[in-house]
Amino acid sequence: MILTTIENVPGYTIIEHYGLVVGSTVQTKNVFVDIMAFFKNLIGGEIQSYSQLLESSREEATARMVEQAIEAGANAVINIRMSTVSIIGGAAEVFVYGTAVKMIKK
Amino acid sequence: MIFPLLMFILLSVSYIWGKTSETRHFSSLARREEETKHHPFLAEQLKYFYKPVRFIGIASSSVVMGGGLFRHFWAYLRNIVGGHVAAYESLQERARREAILRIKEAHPHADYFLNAKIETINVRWTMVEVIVWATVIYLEPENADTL
Repeated sequence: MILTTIENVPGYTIIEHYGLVVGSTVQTKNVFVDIMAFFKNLIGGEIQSYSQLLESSREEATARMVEQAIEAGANAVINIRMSTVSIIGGAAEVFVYGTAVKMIKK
Repeated sequence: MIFPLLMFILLSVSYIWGKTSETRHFSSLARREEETKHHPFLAEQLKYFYKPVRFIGIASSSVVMGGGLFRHFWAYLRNIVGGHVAAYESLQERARREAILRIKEAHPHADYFLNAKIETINVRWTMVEVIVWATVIYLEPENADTL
């Protein structure tokens, strides 16, 4: 599966479009991590527990998008975009979307 | 009497800690940027390369940063009179540069990072998250059989 943020993959030609594929996940850390993050926020600096949370959320959202693309019969997802939204305190939604296509080598 | 004293102590600790860690972080960013400056990180798309493409994929990274109590207090005061909130500008800048560097460091042998996108959101309280993603391209090595 080829994943790109660009519209054309060098050396490949798009032969079929399958439309938009999306993957999203909402995750949260436990209350103890939230408390630690609160104190860390008071003194400043990177909140590593939240960085890791969003990292794993993004990976999972991407995997869900890829699953959807495979089901559609695609072998690539192009023009991928990502978005993150804070839903409630400590919980964030990560949203990944792109265009599923079938490509062949030129 | 206890509350103002406690606030003063917290603000002082936050200022000293924040200033020290920011200075350290900026010097770390400058050093690491110098080390990775040969990896083109572009917001544009390239269609043609001087060598065949060996691998193409997506790379992403994110950083969540908290500003610290003093920075929020200072920004609050600044907001009363208006103007540039430099304290937050430097926080956003650090988060952005760190996120870009993490992508580059995760792919030290990549030839290009194309169509890079950067997004900033507010995760919780006054924490900011910067998310960066791009297409990573590895070209065939010089002595590859395909050339």
